[in-house]
Amino acid sequence: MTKTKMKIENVHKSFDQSSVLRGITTSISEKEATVIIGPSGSGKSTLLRCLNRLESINEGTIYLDDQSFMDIPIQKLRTRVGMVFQSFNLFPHLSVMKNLLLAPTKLQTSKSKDELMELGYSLLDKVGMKEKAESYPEELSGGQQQRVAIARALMMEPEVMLFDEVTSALDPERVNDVLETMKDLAKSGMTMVIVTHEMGFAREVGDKIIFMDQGVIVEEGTPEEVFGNSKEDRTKAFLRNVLK
Amino acid sequence: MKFDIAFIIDQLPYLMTGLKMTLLLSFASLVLSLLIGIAGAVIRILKVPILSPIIIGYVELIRNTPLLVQIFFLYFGLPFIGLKLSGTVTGIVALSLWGGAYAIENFRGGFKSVSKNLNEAGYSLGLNTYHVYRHIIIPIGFRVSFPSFSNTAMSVVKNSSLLAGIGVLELTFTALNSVAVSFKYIEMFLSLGVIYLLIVWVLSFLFALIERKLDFKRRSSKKAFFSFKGMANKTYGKAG
Repeated sequence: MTKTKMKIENVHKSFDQSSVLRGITTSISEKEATVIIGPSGSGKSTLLRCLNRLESINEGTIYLDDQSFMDIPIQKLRTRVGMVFQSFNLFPHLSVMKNLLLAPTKLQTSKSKDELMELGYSLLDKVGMKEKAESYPEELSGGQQQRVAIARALMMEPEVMLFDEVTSALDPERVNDVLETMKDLAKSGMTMVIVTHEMGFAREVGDKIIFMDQGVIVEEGTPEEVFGNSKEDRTKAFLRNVLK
Repeated sequence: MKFDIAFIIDQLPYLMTGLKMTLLLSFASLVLSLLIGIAGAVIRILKVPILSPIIIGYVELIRNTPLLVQIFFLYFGLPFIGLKLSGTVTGIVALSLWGGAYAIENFRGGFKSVSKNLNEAGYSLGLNTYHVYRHIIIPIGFRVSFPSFSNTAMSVVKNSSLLAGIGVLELTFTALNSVAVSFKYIEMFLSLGVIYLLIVWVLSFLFALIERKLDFKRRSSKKAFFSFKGMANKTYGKAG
């Protein structure tokens, strides 16, 4: 049994009148890739955004290493839980290397500039973007930008990485580059929570699959359980539609 | 009556003393307008309690009254509350308040145009609001606002001529002085117009140059560039 990294207890979230998350309870295991799937509007991205407090929750509690979110200063929490977005969100006025260095140079005092730069190069190397360190985001393809965004999030040396539909905005031919990078990261033992529509990838990389619909978790389990042998009709219907 | 070029040449050194004052007033007011504009825009966007409504009132007041009236009010009105400012100081204050109000609106538009996604990316890296504004929203939004700010800046320079109304020895006032004793209206006002034209033309050329350099969509990483960081006199170590 692996250690629980994050615990999500009875989380509710609503925007104005509409209830987006309606009592989510689950856990994220350490060094595992947890993949959240489900139709649009099921609340999966909202749940992910709650995990680094980009959204506040109305009810319930989230724990990171048994410590309640409310007891962790928000900026500290966000350096421990990194996030990569669908739209890359690289800072367009900064070069790739400066995108990587911005946050750590402002926040960390323990590492020298040279050490951070060294870390930056090694992470860019890891995502296959080392030669582009001096390029600007607009000179890169979507897949390249996304890999830089992953490296940028890793600069903070997070304990958990959140991926919010990171391949949805990519040219189909570039999707694989990003997925390979994520597979490598999963293999290296990073705790990951991934929202994706790439079912093949979910099945291959996911240690745990969570299927959400209408703000609740319909079913969760290993990829074999959810994809191969789903218990709920709603899950079966969804998988039939996306896998055909 | 014949056009007297010799008179113009004769008066040029005197006009140059006024020009110097005009350039000084303009430069000081532009720097202050820029600072007021950025600070005011950030206060408005963050909806800072107390300050934000004050900024709204200030911008409305400035935009809805004539600049000349504002200048008279500061110069003749403030002494009533015991604040006697010299013409030059009044001039800089009036032009900065005027330019600042317009600059707030210029920058507000630009800062708001910066995608919320970029803010979220910044916050997700653990940055606080100060960092996000200082390193993400302001540098990017500044570039977006720059063309409209340069319009405001050119108006500030031209409007410095209104300070002749309170006797500041700037370009227009020196021209008026010269006319008062020579009655050579055409020669003097033509020269005056040409000098303003040249100043504003040079200024717009400079702004166009800065705009080009600031545009990150055009620059290639191989070329040397004039970065916002450089402007702020703060440099990151060059990678590699």
